[in-house]
Amino acid sequence: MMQNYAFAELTAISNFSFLHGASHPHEMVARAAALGYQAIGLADINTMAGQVRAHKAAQQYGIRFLPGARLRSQCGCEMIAYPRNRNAYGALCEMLSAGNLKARKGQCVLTREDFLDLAARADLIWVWVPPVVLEQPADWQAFLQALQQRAGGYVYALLAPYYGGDDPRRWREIMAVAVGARPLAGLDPLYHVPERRPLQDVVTCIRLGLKIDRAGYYVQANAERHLKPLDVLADLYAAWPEAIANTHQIVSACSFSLDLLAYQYPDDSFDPQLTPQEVLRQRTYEGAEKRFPEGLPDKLATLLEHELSLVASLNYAPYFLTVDDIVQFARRRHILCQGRGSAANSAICYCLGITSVDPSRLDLLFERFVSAERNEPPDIDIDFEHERREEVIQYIYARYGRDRAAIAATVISYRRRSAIRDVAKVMGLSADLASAMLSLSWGGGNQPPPDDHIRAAGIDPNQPLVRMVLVMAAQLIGFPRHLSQHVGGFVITRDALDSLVPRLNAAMPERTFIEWDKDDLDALGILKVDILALGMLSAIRRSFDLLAAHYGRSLDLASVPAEDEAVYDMLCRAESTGVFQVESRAQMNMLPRLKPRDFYDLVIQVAIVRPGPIQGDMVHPYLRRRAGEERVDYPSTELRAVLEKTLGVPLFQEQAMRIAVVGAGFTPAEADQLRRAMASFRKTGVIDQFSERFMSGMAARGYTPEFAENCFRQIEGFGEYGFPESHAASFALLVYVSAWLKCHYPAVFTAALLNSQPMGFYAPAQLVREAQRQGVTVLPVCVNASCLEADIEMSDHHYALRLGFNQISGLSMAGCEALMQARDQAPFDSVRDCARRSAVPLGVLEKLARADGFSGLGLNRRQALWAVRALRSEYHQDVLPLFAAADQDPCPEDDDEADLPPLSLGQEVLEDYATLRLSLKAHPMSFVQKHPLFQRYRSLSSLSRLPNGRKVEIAGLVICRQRPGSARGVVFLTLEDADSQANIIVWPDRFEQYRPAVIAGRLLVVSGHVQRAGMVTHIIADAIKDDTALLSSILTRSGVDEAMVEGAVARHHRVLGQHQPGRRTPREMPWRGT
Amino acid sequence: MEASRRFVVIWFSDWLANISCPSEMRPACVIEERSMGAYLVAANATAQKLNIHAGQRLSEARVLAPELVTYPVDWAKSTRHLQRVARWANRFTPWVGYDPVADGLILDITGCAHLFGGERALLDHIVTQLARHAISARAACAGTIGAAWALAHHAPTTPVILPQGQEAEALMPLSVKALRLSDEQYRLCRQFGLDRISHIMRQPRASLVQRLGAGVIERLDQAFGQVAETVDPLRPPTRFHVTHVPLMPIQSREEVMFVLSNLVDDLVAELHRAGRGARRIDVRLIRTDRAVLSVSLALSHPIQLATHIVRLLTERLEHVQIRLDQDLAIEQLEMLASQTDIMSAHQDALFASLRQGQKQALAHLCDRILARLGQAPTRPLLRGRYMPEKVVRFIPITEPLLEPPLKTPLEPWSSPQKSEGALTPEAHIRKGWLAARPIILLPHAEQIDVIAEIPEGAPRRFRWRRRLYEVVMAAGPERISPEWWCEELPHSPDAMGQTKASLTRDYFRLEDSNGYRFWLYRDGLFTRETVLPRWYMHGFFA
Repeated sequence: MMQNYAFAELTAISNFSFLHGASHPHEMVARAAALGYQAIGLADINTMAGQVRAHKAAQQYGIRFLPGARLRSQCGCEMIAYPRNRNAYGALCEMLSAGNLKARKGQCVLTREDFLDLAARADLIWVWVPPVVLEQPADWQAFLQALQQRAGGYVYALLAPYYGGDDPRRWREIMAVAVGARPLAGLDPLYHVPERRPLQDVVTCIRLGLKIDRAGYYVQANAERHLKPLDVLADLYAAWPEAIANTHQIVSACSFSLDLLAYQYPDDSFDPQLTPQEVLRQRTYEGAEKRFPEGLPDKLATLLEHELSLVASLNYAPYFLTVDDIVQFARRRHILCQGRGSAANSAICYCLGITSVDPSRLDLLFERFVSAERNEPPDIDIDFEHERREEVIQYIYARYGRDRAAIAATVISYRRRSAIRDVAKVMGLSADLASAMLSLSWGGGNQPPPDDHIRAAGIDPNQPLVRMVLVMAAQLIGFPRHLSQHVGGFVITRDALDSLVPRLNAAMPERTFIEWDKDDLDALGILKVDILALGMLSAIRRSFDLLAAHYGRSLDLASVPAEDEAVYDMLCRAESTGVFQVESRAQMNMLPRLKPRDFYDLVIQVAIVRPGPIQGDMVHPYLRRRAGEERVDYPSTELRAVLEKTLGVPLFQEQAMRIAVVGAGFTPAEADQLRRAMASFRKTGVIDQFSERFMSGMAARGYTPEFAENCFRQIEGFGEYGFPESHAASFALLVYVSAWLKCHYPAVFTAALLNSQPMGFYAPAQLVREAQRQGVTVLPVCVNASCLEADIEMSDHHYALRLGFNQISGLSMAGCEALMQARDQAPFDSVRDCARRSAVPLGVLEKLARADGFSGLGLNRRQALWAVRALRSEYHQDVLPLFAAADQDPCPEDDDEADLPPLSLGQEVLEDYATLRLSLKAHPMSFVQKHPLFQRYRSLSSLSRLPNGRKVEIAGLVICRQRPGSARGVVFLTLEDADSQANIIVWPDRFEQYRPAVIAGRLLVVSGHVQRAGMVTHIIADAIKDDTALLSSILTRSGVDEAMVEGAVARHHRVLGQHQPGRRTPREMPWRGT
Repeated sequence: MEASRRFVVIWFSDWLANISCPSEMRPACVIEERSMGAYLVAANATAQKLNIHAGQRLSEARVLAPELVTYPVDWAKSTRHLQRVARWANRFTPWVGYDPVADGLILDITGCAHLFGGERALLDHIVTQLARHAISARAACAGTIGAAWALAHHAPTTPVILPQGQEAEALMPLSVKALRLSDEQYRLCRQFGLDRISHIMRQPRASLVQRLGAGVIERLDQAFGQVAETVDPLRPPTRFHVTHVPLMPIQSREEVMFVLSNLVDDLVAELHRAGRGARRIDVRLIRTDRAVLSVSLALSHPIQLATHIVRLLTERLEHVQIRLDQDLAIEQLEMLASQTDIMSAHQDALFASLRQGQKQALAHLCDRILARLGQAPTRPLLRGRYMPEKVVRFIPITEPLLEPPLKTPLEPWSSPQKSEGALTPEAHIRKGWLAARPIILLPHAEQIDVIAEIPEGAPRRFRWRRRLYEVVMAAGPERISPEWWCEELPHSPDAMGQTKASLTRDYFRLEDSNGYRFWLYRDGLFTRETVLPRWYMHGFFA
């Protein structure tokens, strides 16, 4: 009896109907499959955002999936639409797009007339979702009849059981209104199981800004909006068997599946006489000629032919040409760019100038990039200068039009912080209590804070309300909250994008993005180009510009002299401050151990200091083998080929994949699935199936379980933090170029870094200090000599670095330009002269004076400020009036000599930090170290000579504090004194003990013991003392002004947490409460 | 200017912390919620030791001390307390003023000190008395307000007494902050390196004015007595306060009422002038033996109507024993409108609208019931709840009928309900959202025996209070789930009918063979929540 009911649920929504649905798409699909439904249709409210996820889940669970949308008009009319074919799907997307673009972000404006239009144009199934109360039945009747005229017989009316007291009567009413429409059984589910009802109530309250106990009838009366077993359905629809049969009818009428979305590359922009493949061939060989003027090496010629034929067979030529077009634009505009990721495996990309790593220098796998087996599009990511990426983006819009180019979405999901905050608000907890619950947990993890953290914050986790908040928040974490634009993933199509996926307005004006994110696009095989921003490229371009202007040497990424011994010598000494990627503490520790001597060593250096190899315990074996302390052996001859170039230790993502193929007998396609699973295993957990398969495969081929386990652990580590070799190679090139600049032109390099701030690990103070250490003369900001940016200047017949006005925080650049124009006639001879001739606002002069910019005129900052303030009466409202007669009748300089107390050097330094973020006069610690109280502490430079385990006491300024997520609560501090730095490790128990000092201290005294591994020295902290209060009094001698010290030192210690593409910095602790 | 004025400045250095969390030994702070989040406005001594101070963000302070206890700031309370302390200080001198710059008081004690044993004794007395009330205070006495202020705030130890004419010597080494400078003025001085008052004194006056502005110089002159500064004394609240001292003590109730009604007329006249109505009236009858008889009236609306007040007073005083005899008569009568509100004036229409009149009449009735019974009448409030027994709550009749309106939904479709009456069950029933509700709801649902189809069928027959009923018609179920947020825990693992947690109810409307109509429910969903659902009778339709 029951078996006759072939039922398909077609009215479900997921949590991509933001703050309506309370189940993930995959949960909905999995539940439907488990209950034995024939098919599941997901129709989210005015969006297609969750469709690809549901589609993938349906493939996994083996259930038929129907993509659709639940359309809600402004007037409250609600229809579910399922496209019957590709055209109808396109029309549906177009309508949603149009609705989205009419509204501000997150809204969609639709009307009933839109529905009627669409019905006339396209073959859709229409399901009317009747309002709970049927008012104005005649109105509905007319609308439904109009719809039926256009949509033919494909109009249904939903009969959903709401358990409102008289469902049967309601259904009869509905069918009486919807004359001619067919009844459709559907549960109108908001969640997959009844246990989600509280969460659904909570998200409803979040959406409406209500507290749960005041939500009244805005929340559902019962928990019935879930997927029900077939026998329950049979009972419910006993009087309407037709309604259930109709679900089957719809499923058979809809032939459309997301798999049918054949993606079209844009190809209209090329020479009409030639095919794209011919154009690509032509361009590639033109490029090759430029790259190799002396003739193409044989190896490369073969590579090129191989790649070209593969590209031809897969028909990817238009894609390469699209990317080439973008890169050529950047070239024309002199915007520095470089491809990263797997594109660096390609000789074509090298010849086209997309990447700069010579493939003949490396032995890279083109198949990792493009392969016939994997039917997935190649993925090219390109870094541009971070300040000029917008130009490239605007070019793409102009070139392809906004209807064909758009940015991919990023799904912004609930994290710990946002989930606890929103749920607590709904449950009526104060914001204060919510933040107390979070106060002991770092960052935005994916778990609610553990009970002991809650307890430590003085809250009882078993108090029912608190427990409820924690339970709900745990469920809410991972729920999508809204869509946002991806940082740079561009989708470009041949035909209008709108027929593929709806577009939305971004919060940023003039930006549109599509509803699918990177994973969705990947799953459907849709091309995208990542237009990314990289600060280091800006710095390198600036360096090249300065080199050309002052040294007459013009270079680009590919023409920097290769394999320079001096550069490697410098890196081996770990002098890498400011150098791309290898400037972090961990990388600096690795440099002297790895001792890079050629380009490939840099590739390894970049790849090895990553959580993947570290968690897989691959670092030490590699170093031992490299140092010759351990024999290089291979588990088998097949694996020798895979692992030879990394001495038998897998370090790159491709190697992990190859091990799976060669060692565990995976097919290449399976290995690729494994790679994808790696990227998302934390989310989906499917990695377990692979684990079993991997272990047994390795065992069957005679590998030891330990080796197998090691390999697998490393593959897991790669999941989130691994580098493919090609990507490491692209980065290694930037490492080399920046190191080369630093090595040979330190003044130029430092100026470029200062002008590209904020970027990198180090604050300007450290960069300037490093330059001085390298022997660069650094000249102060001067009203008569500085330019807007830091620049190179001849001083005593050698090049010196002159700080620019941009070093002064908050100074108006327009004012500085006016000042420089006035200066062109003659240098200023007094503050008054400067004010008269440049006519800049008084505020600009005050800032200059405070930053000691008039020292060139023989005035210290107090005297200069005194002189500036004297001009106040001549200014009207901060702006100098036009001095018509000023030149003829100059007022004598106001020369009442003020008896201003001179500044001590310490005060000068403090003021320098407050205004310039650095001081050329002295290091703050040099005063402290001379102070009698600090005499007994060891200087940091002496630490490296101490034996392991020696007890020490040291003092220094905190320049960096980190608590990486992977380090299980360990805090890393970097202290600095006048001439060196030291790394401190604070174990969690010590951290708890000395928490205020570790978090807020600026000047710390640490007692601990030395721990040494190789050349690397750490201090393990036993006790920590916060002496920040002394710092201010020592520096100012008489000083009482805490605030100024705080400001100055805080700036000096700017937390080095800027995001840099390609580097996933574990966020620092929220110690300044930003 | 007089040669020998003397001033005392008292600074309550931890004022907010002292009054908000007086006996808190743990680190504690007083916070204020601002648009950018919670900020500290004060921290107690324990917290200050941990580097926690006013002006910090709460999140920042929490990082330093996760166990930090927070108290919300109460500015009204602070003002009240400060007023009390100021009134207390009035005993030393009539000239007591608030310090406009910091939490403190300024006293002009010229010619008063000797009454308290000299200036030293006076200061010691002030500080120890305040300390007894857990208020930490620093005090200084000097010939100018500026100097006394500077010393109270910046002298290394207090209390300090500065003899006349020694201002320069005492103030020179102090920080310029002691001059009561604004943040901006202070910042400027610091930039010129003028940290101490002596530094400023050294500069040419004209250059200083030009660069720092006239304000700094004025402060300097105030401190040194070059420019006079006086205390702005407090005034006692005299508004809406009327008294009558009869020529002879009054001995009869009638006379009391007569005088009171005259006082009411005076008070109402005063309220009228101020455009305010009384919300609370305190009457004090002072007998010849100085015993005080107090009566208070609370009013539901601001009132200016003399006849109404007199009527209420009469009713109120009926219950009060006024023992009067020859010796103990009333010698003074006071009346004070201690709470007032702005009176929104309505025009007296020629034909007063019925509604307006009714509303006022209702308010007057409430006042009278309140005056007589001491307890306000109530009326039912309908609330937006699904659980039938939670729909009604009784509230004082004067409170508004509806719960305050909900925030407007963000999207037009975000909820099924759009109309204003969205919260009342009536509106829902009318619109068909909720199924009909019975006329009579039993105070407690009564368990009954029911024969019904498993799992979700309607009852066929049932036994209630030992009588058997045959069901002829049934409608339902209307399924109402418990309010999970009121339960112990959502979905506790042993929820299979074992816990006290409430269950989902299926309500049915039934008609029996005699035409009676009932409302009853099955408690618990079969198999999902319980194995043996019970049935309850909950109401009747007719």
